[in-house]
Amino acid sequence: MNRSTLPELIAELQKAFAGFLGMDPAEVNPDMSIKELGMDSLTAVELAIEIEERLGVSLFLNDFTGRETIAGLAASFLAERVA
Amino acid sequence: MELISVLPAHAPARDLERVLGDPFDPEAPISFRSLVRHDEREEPPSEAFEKLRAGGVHAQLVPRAMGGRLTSFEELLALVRVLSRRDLVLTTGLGSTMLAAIPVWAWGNDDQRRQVAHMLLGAGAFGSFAVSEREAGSDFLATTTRAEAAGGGYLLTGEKWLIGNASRCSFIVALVRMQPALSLLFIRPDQLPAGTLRRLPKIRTLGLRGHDMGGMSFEDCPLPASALLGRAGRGMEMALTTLQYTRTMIGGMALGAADTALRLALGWGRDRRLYGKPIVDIPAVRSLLLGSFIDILIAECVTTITARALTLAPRRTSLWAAVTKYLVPNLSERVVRDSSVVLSARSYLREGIADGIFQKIARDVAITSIFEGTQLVQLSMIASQLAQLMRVGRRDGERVDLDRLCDLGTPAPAWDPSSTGLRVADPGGDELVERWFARPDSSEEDVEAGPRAADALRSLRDQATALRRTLAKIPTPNDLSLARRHCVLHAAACCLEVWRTSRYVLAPEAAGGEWLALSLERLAFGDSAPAGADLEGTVCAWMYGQLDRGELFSIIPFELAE
Repeated sequence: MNRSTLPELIAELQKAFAGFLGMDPAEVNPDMSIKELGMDSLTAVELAIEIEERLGVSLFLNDFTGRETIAGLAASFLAERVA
Repeated sequence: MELISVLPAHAPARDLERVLGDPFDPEAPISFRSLVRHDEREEPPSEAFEKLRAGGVHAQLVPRAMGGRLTSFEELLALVRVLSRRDLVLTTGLGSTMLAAIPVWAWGNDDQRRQVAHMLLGAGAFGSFAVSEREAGSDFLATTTRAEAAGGGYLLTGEKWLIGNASRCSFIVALVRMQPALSLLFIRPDQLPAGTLRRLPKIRTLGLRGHDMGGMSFEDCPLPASALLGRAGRGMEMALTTLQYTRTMIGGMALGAADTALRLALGWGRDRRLYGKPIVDIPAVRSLLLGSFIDILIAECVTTITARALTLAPRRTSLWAAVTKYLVPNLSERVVRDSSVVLSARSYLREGIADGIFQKIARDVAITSIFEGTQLVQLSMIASQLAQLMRVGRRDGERVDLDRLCDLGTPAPAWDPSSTGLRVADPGGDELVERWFARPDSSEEDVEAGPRAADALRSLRDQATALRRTLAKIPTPNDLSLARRHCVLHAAACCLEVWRTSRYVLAPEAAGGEWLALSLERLAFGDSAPAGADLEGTVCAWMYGQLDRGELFSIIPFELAE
């Protein structure tokens, strides 16, 4: 995962979220807030652990507001990797 | 009389019980008389803690691999019950220590583990799990205590409030905000520069008056890099997982308090004569006492199974510990309330029966539904996980072996802190509810438990069907009554499964299933459960038998100290 591009990372996150939301990955809109997608903070914590285990991407929901989007999370992960 | 056999998981509790003596005896090593005196003075029961130290209780908090005697949580649960039937102040002090020790056992490094093992085994030290803050309540993400990187270590600033053992703890595990996210820090107050940690005054409370409830304030408090506990940024996950252990043990605290409450009410009810007969012969009084006994048995089945699941089905306990923490304090508080109705004016006195311990229990037990996540917190965690299960169904391939999980004759395996197997959420399923309530009506087992049990089961299955339909329509159930209804089904399934799997170790009076029928009726119909004489007489006789023989109120015979 460490060298994946933004679209690749978004696609992987869509897949992981889809698994938790009981949706088809294509239905998971990366620009929609994760709360609107049906994610609550407890499930999000569990999801972050699974994403880390599966993809090696460490998501930290320090200030889970529900307003985060998959596209936003992917972009901030890549930005941190560059930094 | 033949000595009753003891389950291996109950052996340490039985030994401790004998060391502590009969609390009703004012001369016992730990007596209700002395505990009430400490409560009146709002002082910790120091001599009692000293006796527990001398009795080696602290070793029960340390895993065997680190030199202690902690094996399974089933075993610990039995210890918690016998201590809590004396005083919740004792188990709250030890429980707060355990809360701080668990993350060290599970995620700490060798040095941190060695330090905590040494402090517990050597001095019987107290620990503090410093999570809550004045403005954060149960919202971990609102944590403001902050650790900044400084000089190769950290600089900690902030205030923790409503913290158990705050003024007497020798080690602290604190949830703090730092890079990259909430983390846990391991803190030794004795190694800090003067003035950087200030312990706040004792907070005065309704119950647990002898508990060391307070807070701590850190001001530019320097900590070495080695203070980090587990991975940086995963503090919330570790804290949420730790709470699954202690929330289950709170079931044992509530059960211990309920036991003494019912013991007092039963003893009093039999001695007290009004209108020419003992008041236990008044149907309304008898029904309150019998209902309380049934509540204890239900709560015992639920708590025991979750305690066993912590090492036999760890993935499920994100759901089951929340169910236990919701149900068991509720049931136990009802036992205390109904016992107070029987005791009537005596329940209000700070003297008299057992030196007035009842009013203390009534105040103390109220904490069990509040601390470590209130009832609303538990229900919303349950609701979140049920919604998740409805959305995606079973995600893990593993199935829980219910036969093994619920066979109380076979001890649960020892805890392996290096691989807990617990999850924060996403329990994968609830086989107990699925096994009993996902199938159409009537089965062999229904018939075996008798017609009244079968009627109650039918009603519970209808309730389960209705619940599934409602859940299927609402992806995120904000309606917490759905979570509540799941808890009732889970409790019924625990009773059924214990009876099905463990009849051979239950008290002889339990094997006929009368208690099961009454439990199912109580869960299915609540206050409008039918009243008859066929089952009630048998269960009442069993309850009195346990009182007379000096046994814990329990489906498994457990002899108390004389």
